[in-house]
Amino acid sequence: MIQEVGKDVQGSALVIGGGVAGIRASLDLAGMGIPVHLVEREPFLGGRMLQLDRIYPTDHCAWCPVWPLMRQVGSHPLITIHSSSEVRSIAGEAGAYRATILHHPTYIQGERCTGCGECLKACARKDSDAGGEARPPVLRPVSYVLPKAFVIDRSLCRECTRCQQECPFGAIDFQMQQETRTLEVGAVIMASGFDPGRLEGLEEFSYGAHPDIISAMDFETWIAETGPKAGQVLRRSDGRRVEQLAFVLCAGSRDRRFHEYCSGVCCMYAVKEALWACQRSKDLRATIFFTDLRACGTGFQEYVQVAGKTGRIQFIRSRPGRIDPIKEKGTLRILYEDTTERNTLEMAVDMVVLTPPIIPAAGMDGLAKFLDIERDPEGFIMLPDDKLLSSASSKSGVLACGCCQGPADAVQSVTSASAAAFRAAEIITRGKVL
Amino acid sequence: MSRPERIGAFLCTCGKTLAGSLKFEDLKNRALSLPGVSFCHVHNALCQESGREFLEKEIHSSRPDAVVIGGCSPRGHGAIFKRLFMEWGLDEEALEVVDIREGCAWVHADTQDGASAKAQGLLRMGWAKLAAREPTQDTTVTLLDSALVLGGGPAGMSAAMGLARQGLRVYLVEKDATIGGRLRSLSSLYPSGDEAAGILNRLKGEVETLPLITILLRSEIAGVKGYVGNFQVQLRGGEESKIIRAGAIVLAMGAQSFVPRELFRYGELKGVMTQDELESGILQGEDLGGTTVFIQCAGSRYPGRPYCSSICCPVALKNARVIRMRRPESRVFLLHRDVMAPGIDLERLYHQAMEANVRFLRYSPELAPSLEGTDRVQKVKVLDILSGRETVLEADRVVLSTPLVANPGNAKLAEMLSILTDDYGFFSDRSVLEPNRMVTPGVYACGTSRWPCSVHEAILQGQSVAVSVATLLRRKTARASDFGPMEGVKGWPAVVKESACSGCGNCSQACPSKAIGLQLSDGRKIARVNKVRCTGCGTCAAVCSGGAIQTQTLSDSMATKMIHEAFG
Amino acid sequence: MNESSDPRVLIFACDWCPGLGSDRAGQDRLSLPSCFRLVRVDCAAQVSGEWVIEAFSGGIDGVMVMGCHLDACRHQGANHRAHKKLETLRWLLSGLGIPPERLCLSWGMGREALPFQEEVQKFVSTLKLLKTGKEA
Repeated sequence: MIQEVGKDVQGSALVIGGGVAGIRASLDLAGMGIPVHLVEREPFLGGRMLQLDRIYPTDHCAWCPVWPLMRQVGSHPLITIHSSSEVRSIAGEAGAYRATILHHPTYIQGERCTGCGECLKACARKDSDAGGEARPPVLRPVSYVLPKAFVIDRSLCRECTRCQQECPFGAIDFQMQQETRTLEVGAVIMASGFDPGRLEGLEEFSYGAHPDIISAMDFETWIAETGPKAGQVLRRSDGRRVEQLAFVLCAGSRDRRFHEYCSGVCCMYAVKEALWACQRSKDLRATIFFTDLRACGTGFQEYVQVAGKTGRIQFIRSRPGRIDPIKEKGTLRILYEDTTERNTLEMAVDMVVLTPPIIPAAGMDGLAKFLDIERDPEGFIMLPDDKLLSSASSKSGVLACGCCQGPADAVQSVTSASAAAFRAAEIITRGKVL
Repeated sequence: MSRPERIGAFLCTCGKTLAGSLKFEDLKNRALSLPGVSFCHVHNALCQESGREFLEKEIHSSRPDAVVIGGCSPRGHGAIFKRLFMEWGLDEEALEVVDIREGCAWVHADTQDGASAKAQGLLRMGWAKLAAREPTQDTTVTLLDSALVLGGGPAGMSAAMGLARQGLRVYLVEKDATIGGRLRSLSSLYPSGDEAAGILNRLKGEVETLPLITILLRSEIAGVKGYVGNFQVQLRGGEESKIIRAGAIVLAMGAQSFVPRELFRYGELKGVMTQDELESGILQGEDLGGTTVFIQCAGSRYPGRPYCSSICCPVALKNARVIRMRRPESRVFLLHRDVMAPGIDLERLYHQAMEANVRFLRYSPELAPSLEGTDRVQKVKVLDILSGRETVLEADRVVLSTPLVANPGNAKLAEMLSILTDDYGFFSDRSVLEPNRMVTPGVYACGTSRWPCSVHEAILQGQSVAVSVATLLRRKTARASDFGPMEGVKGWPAVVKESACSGCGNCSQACPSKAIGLQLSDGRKIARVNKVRCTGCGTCAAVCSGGAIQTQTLSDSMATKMIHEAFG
Repeated sequence: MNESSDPRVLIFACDWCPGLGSDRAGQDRLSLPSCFRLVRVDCAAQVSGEWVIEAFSGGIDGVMVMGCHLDACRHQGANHRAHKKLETLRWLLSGLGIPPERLCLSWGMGREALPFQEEVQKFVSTLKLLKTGKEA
């Protein structure tokens, strides 16, 4: 079960992905005295959790439990954050990997940025309220995320250079070039997370045909207090209040045409979104269409019961057959079979939320190829048959945690991250592969 | 105890951002007029390299007792200043960062007078807080590099192995005559289908050969004293009693299977068994031909026990398939309310069961299946929701998937260690993203004693806990203030002025962290603070009528002085 | 009581939710009345009744205590007791001739920029009304 690694083991680790799992793994490794390079493709750390508004079953804000972790990452001398960066190539074996990291230019020198925001103020192309779709090219780190510096997305930039003129610290540099760094590390932890799967293929659900057929991740942002409508639950088509809301679970999951597996977290977060929608809109009623209501964790069943007790959330065991916009009325029609009555029914609603499948994050293909690690048919990093080697990929020296190995909630991701850090540390500190 | 006599002030104009909205010359002059303020420097960018060098140089040359910085919010960008103080070896509590940016200039841009008056008030408040503060009191906590793991099942063995491999001495305490826990009685594990015995042997092999692990069989905890870094645990084993000293305690005692007395005529009819009994039968190669009917949620998900025990469906799916594979002519039915198989691996387990021709029927909780038979079970009647038909199954055996329930010993242990359990007796995590950590510093719980989970998950949790514990204990020492409400957040312990304490016990009763006790000192009762349990919330100070107990971050004198300076 | 038209407001804000709200309001450059002073506390439970009384007797017109949502306190629910204690205090204040509206408790509202702004503006308006109400 335990093998020796060759001599000359590199003393640092590479963590790919700066979401909750990557952050946890980095903190654990650094806590063990191992220098960590944390690579994140987005400008800021935080991953998917930062995009959430609330978490189940505590209903706490999604950010609150992440903030102390973020602060620790920022102040830990052993953690180097490579944001707006990607792994370009990686080769080697347990104990000695060489990785090339490409740093995309952010056009703002992090050292000089004080977060004063003069650049954003001056930016010609500021956020216009088009349903929150338009993003200004100057990105501000919200809620104490790291890194603290603002960032410019050149692809959205109109090159007016007003920001550069207004910056009191000379921090903006449009000549900034991309940089390549080579890292020598002893172990690699994949924490690249997930992407929401495409819903366009589900023709029967008319996703994309109507603005009020919305993906659950977009819905959460839409109704958030910090969202574009300041917490109101409105239709995207005409701005009217949503009175009838429907959630359709397993959209694209547990489906032979797309993804056969269950995405694990959708039942619970749909209940969460329904509860918050009801909380924010007193007249709203929600229907959740489900197959199996998978509420297994601590407090989960009780959370579902709370939803039922509101009197405004009903659960219908059914997978709808069709969702169509009804032009004349402006509403949406759901055609479904009531499995207890065995008859076909129709429901008119103002908005439909579809829960997309959880698929491995884009970029996984390339990384898996470099690392020569096996993936299951769905693209997630495959765990070996030997379950005691959990967190290990098919290549010793490469560990995996969080959603890149399969759908998982935040707590599961954090646990697997610590276990991955444990194994990575084994290689780096003891020269042994467990 | 002396209060700061020389206070230094720095004001940051944040480039031009604040210079336009606040009158810095006024602010500087007012600051200099405050008693004890020996200097006030204005800089345009304290956080930049030039600013940091300036700060360091001035502080090292002037050596003030305390420093107030007027600049950006200490929660955000201003957090850098506390970090710098720590790097420079200075007491970061002697630094007060006053937010005149996010909290002042940026929200009062329409009134320069108002903003400036407020900035003055805020700076005076910052000065007042420093002028009235007492030097920080913190205690060093010695951390023994040993851990006690209670429970020799998969979670406990995994934790012990993880800890030992990181160089810690481990005492693995097991109440039975052998270690292995649940692994000893399971046939196979899900989702891999691995034989439990194989995993058991490998884990046991590790645990029994790692030199840093001492296994104590037939032993249980009788009492605990001390706190993180130095717990004194009294073990009792038969006639013997011994004290183990450990830096941390890991609870991994597992859970129990609910025995469904009288449910589904268990105990009355032959052939009605629990999942555990089926596992045993599989291990012993019993004849599992004929018709087997699994009934899920037997004793869970009803008002008396509303939770879902999360492992019963995967276990049933696994065993249903095993029966079908062993006896291809057998018939297997699985009666459920929901098939709880979330995620990739478990959904695959579900598909495998379906492919093995296990038949699934859904029942509603209001109409639970009923069993018929006189001496032995003969039939199971169930209303199948999907078809709407009442189905009668000729059954040779009925397997009840019952929930895991918390060990009855959990409650006592929770009291001994001052940790929390949920409504069902399982140990509760301290906070959301800190799984396995208990409210008492140095105490962790993993595996099913915390919540029903698979053997695979229990092993993962054991490793995760091993990392947390080893990282903590390897430091050898810590400060009491390092133990706050969450990891990475300081918790400055409350301080008791013994001469002023009347021993009324209000603070002790009110403390939400159970960090205060009353002890006899010179014949009278005095409040004593457990400095590592204290998270610095201030509840005690707020209920103390005599002002005898104070928080260090904002004592009564600091607060009162600030209040009076707020509006000048 | 003070002479100028704006009420003098003291806000005790815990460093978690309301602290976040204060920073966010600043980052979003929302407009707030400048007549309040914020005192950061580690937890709303830290606020003692004596401080509140000290504030009123020192000429403060209104005291606001902002904490996290009652179910979300990181100090093992310390704000629950704080809420009960301060609510009781509010009614005791009337015995001292201080209208209960002068003490405002806000749990979990101040986490975001706009709600933080609203909470502060609402309180300041209430205090202004009290003042004009008295003079009328």
